[in-house]
Amino acid sequence: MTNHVFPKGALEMLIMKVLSNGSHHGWGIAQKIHLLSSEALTVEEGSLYPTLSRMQQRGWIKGRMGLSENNRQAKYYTLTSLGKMHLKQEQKRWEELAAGIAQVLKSND
Amino acid sequence: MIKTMWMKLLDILYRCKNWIAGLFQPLRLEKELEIEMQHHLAFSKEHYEREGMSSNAAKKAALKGFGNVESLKEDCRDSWGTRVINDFIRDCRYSARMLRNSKGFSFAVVITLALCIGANITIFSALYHLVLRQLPFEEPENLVRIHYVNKETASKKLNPGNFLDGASYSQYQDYKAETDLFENISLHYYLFRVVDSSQLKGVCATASFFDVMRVEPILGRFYTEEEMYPSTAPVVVLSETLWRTKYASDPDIIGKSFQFLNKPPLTIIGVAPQSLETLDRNIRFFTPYHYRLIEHERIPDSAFWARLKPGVSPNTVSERLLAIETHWNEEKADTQSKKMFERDQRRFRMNLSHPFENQLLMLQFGAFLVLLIGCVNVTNLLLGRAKKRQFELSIRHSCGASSVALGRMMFCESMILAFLGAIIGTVFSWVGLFSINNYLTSLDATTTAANLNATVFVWISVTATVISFLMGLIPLALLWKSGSIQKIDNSSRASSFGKGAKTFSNGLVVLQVAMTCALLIGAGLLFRSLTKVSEVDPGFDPSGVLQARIKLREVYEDRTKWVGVRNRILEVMREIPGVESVSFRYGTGDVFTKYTYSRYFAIRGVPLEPGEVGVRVHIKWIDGTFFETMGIPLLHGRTFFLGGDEPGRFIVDETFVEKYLPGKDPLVTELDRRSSLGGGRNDWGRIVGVVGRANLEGQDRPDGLPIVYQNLDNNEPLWGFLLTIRTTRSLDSITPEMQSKLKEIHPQLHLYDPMFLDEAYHDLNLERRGITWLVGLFAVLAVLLSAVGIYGVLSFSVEQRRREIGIRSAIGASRREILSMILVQGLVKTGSGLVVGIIASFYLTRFLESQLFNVSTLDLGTYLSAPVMILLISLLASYLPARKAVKIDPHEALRAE
Repeated sequence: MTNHVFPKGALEMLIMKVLSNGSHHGWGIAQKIHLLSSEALTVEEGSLYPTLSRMQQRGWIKGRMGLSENNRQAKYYTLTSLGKMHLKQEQKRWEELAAGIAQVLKSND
Repeated sequence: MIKTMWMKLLDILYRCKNWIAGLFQPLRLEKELEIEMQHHLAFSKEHYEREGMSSNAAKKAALKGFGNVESLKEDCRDSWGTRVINDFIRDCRYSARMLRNSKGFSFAVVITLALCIGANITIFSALYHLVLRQLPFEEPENLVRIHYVNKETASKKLNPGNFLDGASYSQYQDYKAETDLFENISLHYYLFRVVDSSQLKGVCATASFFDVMRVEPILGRFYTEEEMYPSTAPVVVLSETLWRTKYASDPDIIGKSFQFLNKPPLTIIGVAPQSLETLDRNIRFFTPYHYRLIEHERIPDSAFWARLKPGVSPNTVSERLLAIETHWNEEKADTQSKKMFERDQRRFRMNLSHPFENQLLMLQFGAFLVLLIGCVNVTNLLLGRAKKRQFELSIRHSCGASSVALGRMMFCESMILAFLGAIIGTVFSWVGLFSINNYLTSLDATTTAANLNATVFVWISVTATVISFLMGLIPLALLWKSGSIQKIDNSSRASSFGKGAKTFSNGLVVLQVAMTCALLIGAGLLFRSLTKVSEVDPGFDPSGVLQARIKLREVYEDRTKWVGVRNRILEVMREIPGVESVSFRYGTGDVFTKYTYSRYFAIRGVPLEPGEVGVRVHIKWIDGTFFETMGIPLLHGRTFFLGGDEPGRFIVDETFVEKYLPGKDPLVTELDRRSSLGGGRNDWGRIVGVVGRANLEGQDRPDGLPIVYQNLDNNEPLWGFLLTIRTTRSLDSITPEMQSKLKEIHPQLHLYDPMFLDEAYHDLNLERRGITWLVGLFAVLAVLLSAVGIYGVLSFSVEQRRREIGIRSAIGASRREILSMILVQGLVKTGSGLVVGIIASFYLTRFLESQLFNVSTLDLGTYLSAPVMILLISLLASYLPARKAVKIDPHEALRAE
């Protein structure tokens, strides 16, 4: 399992993407990212929470306490419509960035 | 493009909303975060357990994988934005605990601040209330009071309320015509009337008075111009206070009758608002200025209230009015008035300044000095404390506290101290204002009580914050600069408090001592003045002398009855038990007149200087028993005969003899009264007696003029007189008896203003005494604070130099040498402070000159004794730390690294 260092902003994007398909608690989000990336990406677990906190402050996600699978209290996050807008924006930017980088790498000059 | 802007806006809005929500529910966020993280850790642990780890190992692995929980929590808190406030609250809690642990230090700082702030609030409140506060009328900056002063009153810098000259109705009409200067102008004077056996003060003013002030009646109406004519029914307007106290705010008061003693009844037509009573606290009624008065007649003590047109300056008005007067005198005045105008050189004075303005400003300066001294003390104390905490601060710094965080912590501490000090200081000032108000109202009957008010509170809070800012951060800044926080350094060998800090600290002490010295010298000069004043021999015995006024004119219309009634009154008063002596004299009412009449006499056989009208004296009209009643000794000759003397007999005092008749026999000298304009009646009279000098004008205003007495008891009818009685009884016991004796003669006779002379004589000094004691109090405070300051700085220095002193004593310095080393240190600081202070006093005492009496501003005695006193006290203050230094055990000092 190779761990890549997360570029800035990418974590937020991934979180938002995961949440666009349903609400999860923190552990769930980390698991989902790990799964969806075919285990290529592992989030350093603790660092998830400050990011989640920031995103909550900006209104991109909304958190609510609930009961989780193992009958414990957990905070579940959902993506807001504002968050959806940001996701689209970030996704577009990321894809442009990736394409640009790939293009430079492919060139033979 | 728009979309990005819109999103940015939403971003900001959401952040604000969530930040505010976070402020209200900080605990909820914390709790949820904790639950979240615990939940995550639980899942993680299970995950590891499923992979085969033991429970403990799984737990450890979960934590390791998670990261530093506390640090992550801090990051989350950062994003909430509530960190600043939480940190601040935490700092405050910590500071409070630290302060509780060092009670001595905290107490010293809080009390110092409380005393200084309290003193300043008190004086400033009084200053604000009496001087700076605007009158409660519309556009008060355009209101002025205009009155005449003549050369004599102007030169004596007398209070505006005590001038002699007045204004006339024709002047009022002339000035009214100056519509480009005045929006409105009115003429008024104060009068005293008896209503139901109590004497009331009121205003007699033209109807325009109410328009000048722009006030509306609370009830009813004000009088009009028409009602100023004598033919209309007499009316009166009551003041709000009288309506409230005497008539219990009766809403049906309009139309009821109001009567002055011995005058026809008046109809009450309205009640005036309380704001008018700020002009004079004792105003109880308003009556119309009566047009029956002779147009050109000047009513004494009358003045104008005017509302200037905006933009008009008082100087313009003053010049214009003077031009009008000069013109009138040239064109229309008779020769008599003309000469008087030239002689008096009348000028206009326009002011709203309060008689105590200068004194209060001076007191404010003194209080401010005390505040400065207190702040210096506190700063030094904090400096010392900061040095002690240097170790703790450097640990904090190395743990990650930035200079900002450290600063915030120190600020918290000093803020708590400053606010505590301010609160206690406010309590002090409440007490202080209470006593000042009692003193002020007995001093100047016109003022109302000064209160703490919102503005003062705001100023105090601002000051407290600024003080705490400086107090907290200056020591920290100094420590920071010296670099002793950046490195962890436990040894006191690091006297690297920085040379700058040390000089600063020493400089503060020198400044402190200098200010104390100046204050003490000022107080000393004032006290010496006070002593000198009380040493002045009044020349008569004021104790046991009662004086009251009797007005025959208002009861008996027939002048021929006046002599008989007067004699009967005197007889009847003599019959009262406890009365030793009864006499009467002529007077205007005030026992000790603060303004002077002078008259001129020519002496037979003594040539006059060219241009001189005669010798200047005061005249008093008395009867034969006057000297006995007043306790003035008879030196030569005789007193006047009772019941009449030959006309043209004078009695003079010894000053007259010394000044004008040196070497001559006074009892054969003849005098002729001269008018101030030159020319007399050639009515020569003879001196029949010489009496001792009596300071009947008050102790501290002797102008050296002698007194000439003339006989009033000569069967001439007198409309009223001053009854003077020597008695052993008290005011409360004898006055009712006197009143009832008068009533037996005629039920409408009234005893006005009975009072004992010694009380009035004593009261003359009230102002001087109050100021002297206040300044003295400030000086004592300053000395105490300076002593504490010197003690603090020296004992701090001894702490710092523990090692050095230990070494010195180890290599053989004697106890005495160490003692003197420290003492000298203290004396040097004190000495330099004294030098600065004395030099400053040379300059500053100039401002005290108006308050001094027979004491020069460079009085040697005070300039010597004040510094000596400070030196002695600072010696004592230095002795204690010096003793501590001597007790330092060299072994311990060297060992404690």
